[in-house]
Amino acid sequence: MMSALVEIRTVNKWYGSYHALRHVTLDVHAGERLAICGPSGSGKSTLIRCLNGLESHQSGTIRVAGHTLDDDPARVQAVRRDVGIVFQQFHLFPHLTVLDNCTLAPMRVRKLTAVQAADAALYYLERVKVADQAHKYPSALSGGQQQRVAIARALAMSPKVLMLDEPTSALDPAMAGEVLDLIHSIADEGRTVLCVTHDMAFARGLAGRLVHMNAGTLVESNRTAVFSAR
Amino acid sequence: MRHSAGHRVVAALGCAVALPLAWFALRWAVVDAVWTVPAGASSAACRAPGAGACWAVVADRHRFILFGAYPIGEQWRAGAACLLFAAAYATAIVRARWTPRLLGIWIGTQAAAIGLMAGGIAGLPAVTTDDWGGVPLTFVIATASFTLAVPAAILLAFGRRSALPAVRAVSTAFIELVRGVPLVTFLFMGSILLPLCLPPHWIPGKLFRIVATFTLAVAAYQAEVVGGGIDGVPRGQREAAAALGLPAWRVAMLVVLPQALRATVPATVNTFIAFFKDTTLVAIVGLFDLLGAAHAAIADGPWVGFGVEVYLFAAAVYGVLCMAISRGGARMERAVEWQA
Repeated sequence: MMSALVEIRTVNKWYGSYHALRHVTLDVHAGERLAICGPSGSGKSTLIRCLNGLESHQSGTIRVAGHTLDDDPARVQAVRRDVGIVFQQFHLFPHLTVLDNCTLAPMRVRKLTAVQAADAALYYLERVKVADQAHKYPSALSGGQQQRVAIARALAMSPKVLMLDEPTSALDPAMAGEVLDLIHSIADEGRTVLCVTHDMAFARGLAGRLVHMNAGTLVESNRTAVFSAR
Repeated sequence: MRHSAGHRVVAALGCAVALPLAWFALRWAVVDAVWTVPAGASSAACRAPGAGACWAVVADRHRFILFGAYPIGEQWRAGAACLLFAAAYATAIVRARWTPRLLGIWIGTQAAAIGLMAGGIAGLPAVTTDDWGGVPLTFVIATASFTLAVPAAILLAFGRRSALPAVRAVSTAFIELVRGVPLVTFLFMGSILLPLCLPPHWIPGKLFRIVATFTLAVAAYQAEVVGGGIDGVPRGQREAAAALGLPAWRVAMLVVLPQALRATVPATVNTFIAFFKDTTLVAIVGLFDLLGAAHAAIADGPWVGFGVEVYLFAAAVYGVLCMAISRGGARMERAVEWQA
């Protein structure tokens, strides 16, 4: 049996007495495009943050690309190397140029040479249409441009799965549109994409599969077409 | 703006007080001042009735005030050392030069300046550090201790925030202990108690002990400055770096620390100026920094009693140096704004 790229089995998480994730079980297979929708506080961001060890879960198992997430920092790092994540607030490194933002991890983690890393970074910056800004600092860019750089930064690590946490919620509608189009076209390259979003229209357009979270529970897991038809 | 009658009265009163004072100061400092006395002459001209400021004392003793007991014939070395320090600072404040190479230049220039002062190499007669004094002594203590203290401060700041309880406890205890005790106390301990506790041939030189004491003090204060900068880096920055697969120490060194250090440039310049002036405290343990040398210059001999003039001179030298540091600091502050 072919195992899933991301395997989540009866995962529970508490913040103190607050039960944030309840018995969540989910598989994401290579090449799949999954959207996780749900109201604020439903646990969707918590779930995505658990998938690369930014939050720890208290019970159940999470396996990503064959690595089981536990307290061992080496395994957490192994997972993070294979998971690209894009945050709602971009979190670009303000003291580095756009190019250096995208070459930092490939050089230090993937051990690419400066030239290899810069080539790869420029390829992805070209792909997200901000290559002309490569030598500027993030603060000189618009929000939409910053989020596109953040996507390039994640892709430059050649992750097996790209996770996006509300990637357009901090952007105005015009900028959100350009970022959504970009995510669409990246997903069309056959990448495994997992996107947390409020935007149901975008979720339906993007995702092969749509999952709904409510109060820490995964309540729906249907093909988009079925979901939309209801 | 229309000036009311009240304004005019206040202005008139102000002038009535300020103008005579200004005239008095001008007469004292310039018109009636004694600028020089003939070589070998006593201070009689300065003690004549109606004489103003006795700048002759500064003219006569400036080399002692500026260079302390450093041998007169070798003072060009002390002066050259000061220029080397100034050159090192001028180099270091330019952002375009902030590369790993700068660290080598910074340490190399200091080593050259200290070697030039110490002598005993390249045919230069050796000068014991007990004879160092004045401006070069201030430069040596301030620069060497700051250079040694900054890495220690960074380690202490991260140590205080460490997940390991032992590291956290040791760092916190050191910082709080050093900050809780006056610097003068540590200088006394380092200079007087320490020699009492060690066998004679183990006792390091006076200057070494002073630099070590200053290093510990600067490290503790600067640790809190750096710590504030570390706390100010948003959590998202750490998460974004960790999410890229960087190990914790790389996250600290490549993402957190550079932002923390940039954010704390103004506070760091502040710490530096404070300790630059605190080097005057070495006078109490028997080294003649600029202020100590000024004090010693009028302690006996012909110039007893002309304290105002030499202290004004010392104040002017400190003023120029601290203003230069502050200008350099302001330049660095502008340079680290993100869009630079």
